[in-house]
Amino acid sequence: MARVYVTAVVPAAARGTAEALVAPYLVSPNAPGVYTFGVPITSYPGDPSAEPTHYGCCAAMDDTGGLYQAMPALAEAVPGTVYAVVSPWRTFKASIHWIGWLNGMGLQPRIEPT
Amino acid sequence: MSFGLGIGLKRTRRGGGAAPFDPTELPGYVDSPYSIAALRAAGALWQNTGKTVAAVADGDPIRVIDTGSIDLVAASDAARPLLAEIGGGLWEVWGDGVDDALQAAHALVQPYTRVIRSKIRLYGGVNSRDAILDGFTIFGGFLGMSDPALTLLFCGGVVSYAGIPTVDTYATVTIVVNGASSLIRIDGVEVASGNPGASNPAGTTIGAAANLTRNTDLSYAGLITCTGVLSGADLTNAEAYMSALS
Repeated sequence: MARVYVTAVVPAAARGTAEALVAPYLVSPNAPGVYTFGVPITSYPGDPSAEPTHYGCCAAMDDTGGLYQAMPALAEAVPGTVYAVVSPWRTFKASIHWIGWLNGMGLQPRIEPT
Repeated sequence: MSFGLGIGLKRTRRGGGAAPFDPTELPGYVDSPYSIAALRAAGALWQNTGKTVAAVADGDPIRVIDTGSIDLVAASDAARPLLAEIGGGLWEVWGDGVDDALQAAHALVQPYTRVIRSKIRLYGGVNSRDAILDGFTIFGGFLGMSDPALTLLFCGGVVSYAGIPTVDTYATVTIVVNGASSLIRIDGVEVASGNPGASNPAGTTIGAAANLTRNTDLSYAGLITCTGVLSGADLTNAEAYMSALS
């Protein structure tokens, strides 16, 4: 078993559906599903304060766990979902595996206008 | 409340034969997560808000750091940073730089001092502003850092300092906020000074905050907060203590 870091984005319109599908796999002692896809994402290049087109999340998980095993099916069930795995988790670097990954898909984290 | 004694953490000493330095005994010490290793040993790290599942192993998520009188809390499970072993019996809080953050609301009024041991991975201009901690609530917006320019914004001015910690580099950052006597030291070297004005922190944030102009990776080994003005010796001792945390 190895602990990996998983990044995922879903279309904004599918956020609720994706969170409902993921919730049963969340086994933490806290309320599951809350803010699962809590990171707003918008188009890149472009105004980073534009309305979100997607929502994303990043989380550590065991590669033998139920959620990890279910990821392919979950992604298939929500069209437009994209996810990536970084292993081992300590090698995750936001600049590469989040910002760079998003930019490569024409996306960027949304930043609130100041 | 203090977790500071007798838990096997590497300590520095005030002088030959003196008692081990205890950060919680500094003048005006404010309860704060002064050492992740010590807090782990004391059973103060929790995976859940109910504090029923301890975070003790490498990779365990941290929802709450209970320092005794304050809790630093992640806003959601998705925002939990991870507990990470860094060798030599030492531990850190590892944030993903996306949304992982621990926060506590508490008020500090000048003068106050913070000494932080953190490894800061910055990426990208203004989005890295307020990278050490939450500048909006701790430093009132007068402290910021940017990379790759390696500039430090302080008191409305900008100074260049090549020693600003970047990828995979731990540093001890000391921030004294005391009117015109305010200053910042990195690894014992003063890099900025001036008057930050009346800004006073309303809380502590460790890590990134999604959807705001604060996006940083942050590995974090300890934070000491004191009200009042520490002596030069106290500052030196606190910095030495921090430097032993990673």
